[in-house]
Amino acid sequence: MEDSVKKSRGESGIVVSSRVRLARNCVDYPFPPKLSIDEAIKVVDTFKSAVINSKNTLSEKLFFVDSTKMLPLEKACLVEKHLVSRDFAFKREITGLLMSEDETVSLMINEEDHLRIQSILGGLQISKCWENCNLVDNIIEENVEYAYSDELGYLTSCPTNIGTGMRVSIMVHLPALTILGYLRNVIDTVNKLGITIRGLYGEGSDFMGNLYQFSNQISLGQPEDEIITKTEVIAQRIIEQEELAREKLMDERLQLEDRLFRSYGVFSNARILSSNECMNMLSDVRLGIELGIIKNINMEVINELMVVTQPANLQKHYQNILTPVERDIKRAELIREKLGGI
Amino acid sequence: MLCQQCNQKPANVQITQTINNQKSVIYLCEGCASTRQDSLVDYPFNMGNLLTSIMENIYAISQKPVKESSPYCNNCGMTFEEFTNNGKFGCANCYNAFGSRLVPIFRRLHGSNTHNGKVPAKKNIVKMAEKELLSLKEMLEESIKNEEFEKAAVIRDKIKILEKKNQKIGGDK
Repeated sequence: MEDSVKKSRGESGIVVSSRVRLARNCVDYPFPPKLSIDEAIKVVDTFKSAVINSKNTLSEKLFFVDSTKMLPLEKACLVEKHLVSRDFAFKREITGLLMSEDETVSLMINEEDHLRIQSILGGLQISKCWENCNLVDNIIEENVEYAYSDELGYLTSCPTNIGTGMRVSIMVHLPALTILGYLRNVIDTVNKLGITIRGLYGEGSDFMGNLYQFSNQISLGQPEDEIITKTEVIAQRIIEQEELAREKLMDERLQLEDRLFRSYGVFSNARILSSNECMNMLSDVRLGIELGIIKNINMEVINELMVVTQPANLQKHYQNILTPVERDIKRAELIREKLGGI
Repeated sequence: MLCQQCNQKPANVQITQTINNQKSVIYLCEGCASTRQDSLVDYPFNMGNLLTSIMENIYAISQKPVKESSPYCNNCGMTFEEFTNNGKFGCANCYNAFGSRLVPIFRRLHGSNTHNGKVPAKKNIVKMAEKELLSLKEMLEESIKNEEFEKAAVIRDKIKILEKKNQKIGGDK
């Protein structure tokens, strides 16, 4: 295997990020769709005090945000960073949010379930994400009685989440498999293993920039460590397949270099860039850096651009509400600034 | 409804956009929607819809039309019909209320209908204590059988303490 292909593995390589979330509910209240306003406030208070008053090192790391009062733009920024779901951001009912300063742990209160504990980390770190979630879960359950049955495990609003209440997701960057048209085979294979594929922002969202989210469908009947191991093994297989596809692309190195440098040229010098075009070019530049074709760009800059060029974060960056056309212009301006374009 | 952009294809995607704090909703066909990446797109094909179709299939195949009234949850008032329509339970008690009707749904979704993962610590303590109690009682019988009465007395005391503790945990629940 070519060294340059091997190098693309690791922290910010093919697996961009890992995420684990646990769905939990309080036994004392109806599930969020049936909650009254008073009950919804009580649910928020229950989890807020369970965490903040826990006298644990965790309580110092997590801070509470009254998400009901947050501006739509602020919520959209959190969606783009994958800290909250789109459903949560669009909810008009009473919600609450607990987050860690480093943005690796977030707790959504009154989303589809009373509580969604989530941990997101860069690279392939599913076990560490589970550790984070499990720790938070253990602390909360000292003070809150969860809706739980011996037979069905943790009871959730939607039957797709019962049992462990766990969803493990990895976000993977698969440009070579996509370019060569092999992705369909990968999707079909993992589907048979109980893994589903979603777009960038989860269920029902679009595929952009050759980024895909793979997650487990089954939450009942399998213990947490089995779900984690299975997803890790599948992640390794996907990495191998993408690496093989990248090797194949490298066989036609000149054509590949031409494609990647053209993208880089446009990306770093364009005057107007739509979000979709930007994501696709980011994918090419990322691939170029990982294969050692494009040099002199730090991957951290690319990771930062991946977030800050998204519609809401771009507006937050410029501290201004922008129309889609204005956004496209500012997006190109920001990229030129970061990459030293003409 | 026709797509508000091309006015040709049927609109099946709803796009909500917020500009200058003004929220507006437009309806587009999938083709036009896919060209508008700046918006967060709400597809009508969500998990709830998929679930409903799974459940409809299960009941179309496995159940003859039932004349009896749909069961309902006496805690939150949700009927089984309501559940199959939107794919979401109203409260934890719905699981009891709809009982065995849910088994084929769980089996279809998860290939299983029994939890095999984490147990909340409080419940786990009770389970562990019950297990310990059982093994102590076996040891007690064994000691009596072997006429080791001093050992038996120690075990009996342990059992008493544990039983008291269990009662307390059970009461706390």
